[in-house]
Amino acid sequence: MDKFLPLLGDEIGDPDEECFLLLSNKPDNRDLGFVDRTRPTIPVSINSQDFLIHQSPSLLTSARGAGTTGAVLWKVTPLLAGWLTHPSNVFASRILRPTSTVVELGAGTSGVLALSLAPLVAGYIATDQQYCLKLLRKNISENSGDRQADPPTSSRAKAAGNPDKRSKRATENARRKEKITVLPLDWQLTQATSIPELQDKGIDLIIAADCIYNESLVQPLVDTMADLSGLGRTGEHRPDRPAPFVMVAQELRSPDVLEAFMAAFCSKFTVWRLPDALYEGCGDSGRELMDGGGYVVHLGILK
Amino acid sequence: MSKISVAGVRGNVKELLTFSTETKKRNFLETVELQIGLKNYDPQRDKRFSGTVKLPQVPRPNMSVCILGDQHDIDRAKHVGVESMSVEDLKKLNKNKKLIKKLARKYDAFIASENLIKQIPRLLGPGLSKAGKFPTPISHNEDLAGKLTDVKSTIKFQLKKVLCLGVAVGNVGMTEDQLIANIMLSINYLVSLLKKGWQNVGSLTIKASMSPPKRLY
Repeated sequence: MDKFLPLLGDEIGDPDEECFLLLSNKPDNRDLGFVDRTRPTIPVSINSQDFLIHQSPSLLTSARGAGTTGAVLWKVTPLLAGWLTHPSNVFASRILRPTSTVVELGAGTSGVLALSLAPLVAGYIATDQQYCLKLLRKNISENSGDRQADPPTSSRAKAAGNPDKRSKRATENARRKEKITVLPLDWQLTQATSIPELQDKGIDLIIAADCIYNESLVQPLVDTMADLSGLGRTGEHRPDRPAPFVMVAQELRSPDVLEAFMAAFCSKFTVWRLPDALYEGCGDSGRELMDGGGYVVHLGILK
Repeated sequence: MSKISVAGVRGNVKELLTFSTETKKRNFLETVELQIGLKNYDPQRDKRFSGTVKLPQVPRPNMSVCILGDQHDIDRAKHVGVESMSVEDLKKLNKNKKLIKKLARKYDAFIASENLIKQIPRLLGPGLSKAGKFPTPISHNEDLAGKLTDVKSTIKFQLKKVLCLGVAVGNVGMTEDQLIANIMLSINYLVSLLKKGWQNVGSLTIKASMSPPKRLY
C-alpha cells in the first residue's frame, strides 16, 4: 500500500479549495448524465467484455417516493469500469487483487461494475435499495451466461470447432456469477455493520459510482462508508489488515452537493483526487476521466 | 420531442417585445428572463442538477466581467477595455470576508489566468464559491475577446432547494428571431437536465424586467 500512495500525489488539505478547482474547470453543455434515459436495454462494452444491460425508463419516471435514480445507467459508471479493467492500468492491479473483496454502494440496476470487476477479484458485493435489486440480479444473471446470447467467439474458432475456448468462457461466466453477491442496503435506513454478510468478509475496496447528487444523501453515504471501513479494518479474517480504500467516482453537477460531500468525506477520511497521470495510457475511459472532462474520482482511507 | 412549438413561442415573444419597445418603453435595456416551475421532482432524493450552456446571442451585453490575471492577461484586459485585478490586488484584500464578498457582488463573472487558478482559493477563501462565481480559466493562447463573449453567452441552470428557477436568456433590444433562438435552446437544454424530461416541467414563462409574464407552457 505504501508503495503506491506516492502515485496519488498530495492528499486534499482543504475541501473548499478542491471544490473550487474542480468547478472552475467544469465543461459546458452537459446533460444530467444518463447514458440513455429512454431505452429499456443498452449494449455496454467494457474493454473486451460486452454486456447487454436492462434498465427501467418507466421506473425512472415513476412517482416512487424514495427515489428512482438507480433505474438507469449513468455515464460515469462505464467510464470507471473501463478504466479500472484496462490492461495497462497498473494502479488498479494493485487495489483489485485476486484475493480482494469489493463492496459497491448504490450499484443501481445495471451491474456494470460488478460484471466487469468480478473476474479480477475474489468476491464482489453489489448493494442498493431494494427496488433496484430485481433488475440488478437479472442483469448479473443474464450477462453471466444464463442467456444464450453469448457473443460467438469468432467464426474461425467456430469453424475449427474450438470447444475449449467456449467452455472456458462458460466457466469464466459461471465463476463470475458465483463471485457476485447482491444485497439490499439503504444508507438512510440500515446500519451497514448490522448486515451479517458484510460483517466477517474483510473488505478491501468500497466503490461508489455517481452516488453524490443530493445533499440529503451525502451524510448517510459517508457514514455508511466509514462504518464499512471500520468493519474492513477489524474483520475477523485478518485482524491486522489495513483499512479498505474507498473509491468515489462522480459527475460534477451542483456545487452545493459537491461541497457538502467533500466536507463530509474529508472529515472522516484522508482523501486524494486521482491524478491524470493514473489515467494516461488507459484507453478512452481513462482519457474521459481526466481533469476538465466533468468527472472526478476520489480515493479515501478512514482516518 | 419538444412539447412547445416555435410558432407558439413566436406569438408570445412578439407580444412581449411590442409591450417593452412600444407600449411601455423604459429608459434601460430590459432583460428577458425564462422562469421555470418544476413538478414531480423530489428535492430530497433526485439529482440536483447544475449545468451551463452557451446561447447563440449574448443575453446581457452589459454584464460585468473581471479578469483575475497575470501581467500578460492584465495587459490584454486593458487592451479590450475590461476590468482586471492582479495577484497583488487580490493579496491586498487580505482575506477580508467583507471585501471579498463585495468583489464577488461587483462582477457578474470572472475569468482567471490558467496559471493563477490554483492560487485563487488560497488568496480569496470560499468567497467566490459562495457566490457561485467560479472563474473561467483562460490560457495565453486563447483569444480574450472571444472568451469574454463565451462567458457572457453562457447561462447557468442550477436547482437549489426550491422548485422554481429563473435565468436571463435575452433582452428587449434583440430581434424576435434572436430571442426565439435563445429561448428554444435554453428550454431544450433545461429538459436534458431533468431526470424525467418534460414530465418534470410544470410551467415555462418569459418575462422582461418590467413586462407582464407570458406563459409558454
